[in-house]
Amino acid sequence: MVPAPSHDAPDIATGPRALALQVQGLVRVYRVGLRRRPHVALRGIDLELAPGRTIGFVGPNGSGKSTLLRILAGVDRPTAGAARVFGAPPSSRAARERLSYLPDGDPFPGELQALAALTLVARLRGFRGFKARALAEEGLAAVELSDRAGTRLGAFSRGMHRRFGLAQAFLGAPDLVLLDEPTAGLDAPGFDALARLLEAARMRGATVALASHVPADLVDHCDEAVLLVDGAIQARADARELLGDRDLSELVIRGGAESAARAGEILKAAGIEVTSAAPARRSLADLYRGSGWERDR
Amino acid sequence: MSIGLTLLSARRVTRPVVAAVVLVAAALPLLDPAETRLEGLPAALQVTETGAASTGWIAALLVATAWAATSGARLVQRWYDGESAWLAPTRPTRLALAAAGVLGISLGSAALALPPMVPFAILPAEGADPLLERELAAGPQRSVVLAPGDTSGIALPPVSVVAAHRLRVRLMPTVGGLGATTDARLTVRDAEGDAASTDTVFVGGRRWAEFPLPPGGELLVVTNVGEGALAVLGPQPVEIWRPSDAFAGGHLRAAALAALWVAAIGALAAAAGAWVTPPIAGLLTIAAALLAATGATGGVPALSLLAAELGRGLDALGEGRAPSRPGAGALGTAVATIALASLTVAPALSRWHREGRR
Repeated sequence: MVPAPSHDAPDIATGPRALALQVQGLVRVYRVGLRRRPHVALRGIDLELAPGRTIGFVGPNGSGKSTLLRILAGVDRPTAGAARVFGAPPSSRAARERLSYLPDGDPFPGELQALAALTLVARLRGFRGFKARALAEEGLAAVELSDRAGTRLGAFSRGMHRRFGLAQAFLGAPDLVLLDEPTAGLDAPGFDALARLLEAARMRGATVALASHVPADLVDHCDEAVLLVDGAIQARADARELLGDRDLSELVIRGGAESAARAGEILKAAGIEVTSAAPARRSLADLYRGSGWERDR
Repeated sequence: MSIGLTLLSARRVTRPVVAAVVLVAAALPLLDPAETRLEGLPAALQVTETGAASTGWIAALLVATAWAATSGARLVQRWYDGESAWLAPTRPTRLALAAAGVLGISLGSAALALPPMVPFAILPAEGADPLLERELAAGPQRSVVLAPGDTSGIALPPVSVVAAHRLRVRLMPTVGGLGATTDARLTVRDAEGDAASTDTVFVGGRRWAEFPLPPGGELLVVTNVGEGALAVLGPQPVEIWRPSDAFAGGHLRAAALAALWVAAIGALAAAAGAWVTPPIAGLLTIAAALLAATGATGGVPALSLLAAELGRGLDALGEGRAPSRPGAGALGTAVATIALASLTVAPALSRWHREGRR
């Protein structure tokens, strides 16, 4: 027997100083197939997050990351348990006014040009007239899509869709930004744009929750990371601590192959095992810049 | 309610290719070279010409109705397929989102009623075979019975006649003569008593005798020149018709009637799509439309009312007359259908994939 949905757990804090995210006993059960067999996507998630923090969700496919974000965004609803966004149910107007959500995939209206679509999103978020258009133009500029403002979303590549999704997620400086796979399909400049947007959000005190399969997303951008496995939280810790290997360390030295060889010898002499040594990778953004990519744009 | 969302929803219905198909469907009967095939049969040619306009409208409405039903039925499924992911976290309530979507479907569907009007809007009035509108009615309140050989005169009201004015007299054979049918000679005389025009018509049943009204005509003389008795049916058996000066020769009114019809179809399909899958919702809506259009019992009352008004408009077109403007009843019915559809769709947007997972 599946418990009835509930958004109104009495012991969850509300009010202006409420937690950014508060989840208690969250369960989501889907019915799949012709025989409507139950599939448990979330098994009693408990989670709290203070305003201004950035949290990352990591886990294998089907671990419940997207489902959790959908529930927090008010797109899906729990089968049991309660979720609160700044003290209010995610689907309430009070919560919707403060959150934004980057969904997985590219569900945005392909018929519309990028600027028109983002202006529409801005208006749906309560911005009026020229303000909405100005925000949309700013948003496209932030993800380096200004030159594609007149292109239909249906003609966008996957990475451009992702950039558009990021633009709408950060539109109007929301207090809570929920990002599902924000780097999926992004190119290197897109990673840079995301980093800038996240930094700006952090600077203004926004709360960010993101789900990703890319460790760098979590280490670089998140204060803490949560490991979800099979719909349950397995671990929650500092991102570096969670993803770090206690038996291995990385050492970056300045210089070419000769310097690396000498460093290896010194370490070996000190009794420290060196398992691998290779030239450090340039970032793809640096590679693109070196090829005249910026001039072509 | 979001205007932008309404326009997006409308845009998804009013696709240029669909509008083009509707236009072609409406124009084909007008382009049919019936004149060459029916040369020498003026009566048949007249029927074909007057019927072409209504036939075109019917063909266009079949296309528009089917597309409106198909598009409307997908509204809720779009939400399940991903629209919810970017619309649910926005400010409007689910009811406002539903209303914007349904209104957009209806407006987009209604826009499909405009292309059939295009040929009549762009052709010059004389080339477009303008529709007629009744200007005046005259004659006695009671019917006049004429035995064979009898004559009756009916004063025509003063009217500044142009070439395209038509005179119509309501006639019927009646008891009292030697035959069941008769012939009537209709003569229009001017102020000097000279015959300005004369026509002889066969009266085999209740009918309108129609002919061009000559300038300066002041008196219509009806003579029973057959063997049966003839009734000039009152009240006011004589009507003077003039070319419609309405936009597009009155076809705009037909477009308005058609627009209300397809708008309601789109809204109804959207409501059906909240309960069943889009293909079934579309088919159910088309079935309801066919039931209403054929006047069969058991259909959706709102559609039956709109279908009846649309049917009267198409009948008028078929007879070369301008349809009446849509009545308040038809307008109210369409608006109520859209509102009820919005109320039906809104709860569906609060569900999630019917609690199943794709």
